[in-house]
Amino acid sequence: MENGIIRVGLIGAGANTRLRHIPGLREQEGVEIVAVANRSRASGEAIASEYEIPTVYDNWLELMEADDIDAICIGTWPYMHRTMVLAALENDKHVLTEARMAMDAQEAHEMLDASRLFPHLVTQIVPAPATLQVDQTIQDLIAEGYLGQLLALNLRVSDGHGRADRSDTFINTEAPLHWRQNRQLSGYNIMGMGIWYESLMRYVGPATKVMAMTRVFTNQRKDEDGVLRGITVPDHVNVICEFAAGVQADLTWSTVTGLQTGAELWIFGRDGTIRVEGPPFDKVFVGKNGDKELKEHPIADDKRGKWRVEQDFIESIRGAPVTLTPFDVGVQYMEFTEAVTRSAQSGQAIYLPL
Amino acid sequence: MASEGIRLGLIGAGKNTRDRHIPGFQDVDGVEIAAVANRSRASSQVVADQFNISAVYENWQELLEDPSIDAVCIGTWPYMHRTLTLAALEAGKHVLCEARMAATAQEAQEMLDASRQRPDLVSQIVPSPLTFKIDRLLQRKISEGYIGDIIGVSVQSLGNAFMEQGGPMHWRNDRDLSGYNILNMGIWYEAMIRWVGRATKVTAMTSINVNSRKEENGEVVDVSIPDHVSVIAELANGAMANMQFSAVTGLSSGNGVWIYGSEGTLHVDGAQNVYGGQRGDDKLQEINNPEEGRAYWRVEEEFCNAIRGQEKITRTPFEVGLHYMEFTEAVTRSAQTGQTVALPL
Repeated sequence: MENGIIRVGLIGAGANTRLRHIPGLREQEGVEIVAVANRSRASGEAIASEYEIPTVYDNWLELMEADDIDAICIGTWPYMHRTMVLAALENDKHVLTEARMAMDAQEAHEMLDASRLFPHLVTQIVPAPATLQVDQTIQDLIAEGYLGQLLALNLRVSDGHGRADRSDTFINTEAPLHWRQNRQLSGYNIMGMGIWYESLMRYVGPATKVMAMTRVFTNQRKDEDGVLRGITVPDHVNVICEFAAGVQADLTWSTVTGLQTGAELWIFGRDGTIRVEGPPFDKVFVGKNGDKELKEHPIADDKRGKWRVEQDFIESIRGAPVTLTPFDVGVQYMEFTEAVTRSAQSGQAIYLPL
Repeated sequence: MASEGIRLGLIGAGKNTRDRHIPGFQDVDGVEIAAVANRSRASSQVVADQFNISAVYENWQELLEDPSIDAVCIGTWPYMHRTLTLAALEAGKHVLCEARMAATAQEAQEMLDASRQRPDLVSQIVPSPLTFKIDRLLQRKISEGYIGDIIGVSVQSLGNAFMEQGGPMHWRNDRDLSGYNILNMGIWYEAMIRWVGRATKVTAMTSINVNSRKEENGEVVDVSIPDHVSVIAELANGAMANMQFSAVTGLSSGNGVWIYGSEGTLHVDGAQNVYGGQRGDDKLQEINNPEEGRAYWRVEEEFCNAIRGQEKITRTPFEVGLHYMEFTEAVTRSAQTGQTVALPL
């Protein structure tokens, strides 16, 4: 840091980096985006000229070694997160890494361990953003005892990955291979499972026992070179699990359930029920014993969370604690993610923590 | 006895027997409800008086020993179904047994084996009536290829009331009387078999939230039958299923079925309206379900026709009862062990 200016380098500048992180960082006072390293020099230069970033590096190692960079924003696919986070810390740089934290639980643990070796550096994961508007309200309702003892939770996510319309939600064997379907790039991550579990943890804490069944219905896709590749990342996932808080949960994720879109979350307690659906997840419906039906629960403006990842990162570098999302929470969702795969592979309940 | 009269005896005359079976049999020509044996002589007499039944027996053994009885309708709780069915078949009587077929899969297997020893006698389980309204429509749509290959099935049977600790003990909460049967899981699975076939692998978690209840005499007793059940399964047809049964989900969305295919989706809401949509559609639309095409309650007629050699039992033969009892037991075993259980057992 020079004269209080935080100098940020970007490694990997995909859609989320360009749409979210670059504008978000630019809004902060005393922050400069000084360098970028993307998959190729050419793509790095394209980003640099579009966003007026002064330096382009040939590769991420060169950027990592630059003395005039204080903090790194990692926007690559999950397969590089661990390697890059460890290198960033060793090079004395704060690090914000894109979600999903890592390929598997082991990598996430290594990242957490490394972060503890460098307590003066900020380590942050981009948080689950879908439910930011309602998180505080749900947390408050539960903490105030609106639900009473927590009993059950249902979550259905029909994950369209930005598909244009509902007719696109059927199984699609023509679509190209996406990095999310490539286990070499995504590890144990499946659809939006990890970030949804991160949201659930905000309400009911971590799970202790996981049983899962998964299936790859679209089991071949063409890669960039037109080569047909087998797919091992599931597109249909059923999970049942127990949470430490005593909740039994039914969780489903699918990209092949035609004409079903969005997500729906129910939390059932002894005395009350909460329902949220979306996108946008901007309303909370509640009901108590004695009510005839659920009704909308008003949310005060100051209770509505919003996207403030870059602001959080910069404020943390200046001394505030990381709230969304610290590495130890990332480890929990990566453990859950890995437990789902292990249970589906073995036909056995997997107990958490791993 | 081809089309001669059928003399029927009732063993156990609970609510479903009085509301359904007795009126049902009274509607079939040539059937006489000739005898009844309920839990006590007094309770039998009440039923006999109400429905003009001539003979009241002290107990079920006496009823089965009456050579003039051709067929029995077993309306007891599940714990007696195996014993009564085997005794009835041994006594040479046709059997209509109330659902849930038995307390365990083993008992169901024994009942099926016994029925095969007596091919001359009719053996029938009271079918799951929950979905008569929609069964044929779903079967037709699926067999016509409306949804293509079946990918996923979702069944929710969720109560709408909040849990209440210490309520009255019901036989459905009593494992000694109900065995592995939980909530209405078995009969929903029976319905699901009609649409999409059987499961080959079952993974389940269960919980007991209302863990104590009061007997009629006020005594507080523990409950060992779950009131919240989560099941995920693989089906023989290659689809994945998730099923949920609960009595603790206050203000829930109730009952619902989703059947997802490669080319289309079918949805049944809580009022059993059926909606469908195919690739290219932008939303689900209600599918007309004319009343004349629907299945309906004809259990007693089917039983009597089968006795007279006029039809084969389709709703529900013992084989299918065994299927749902195996599923039911697999759910408990998986929940107990934390392991996926393969079917058939």
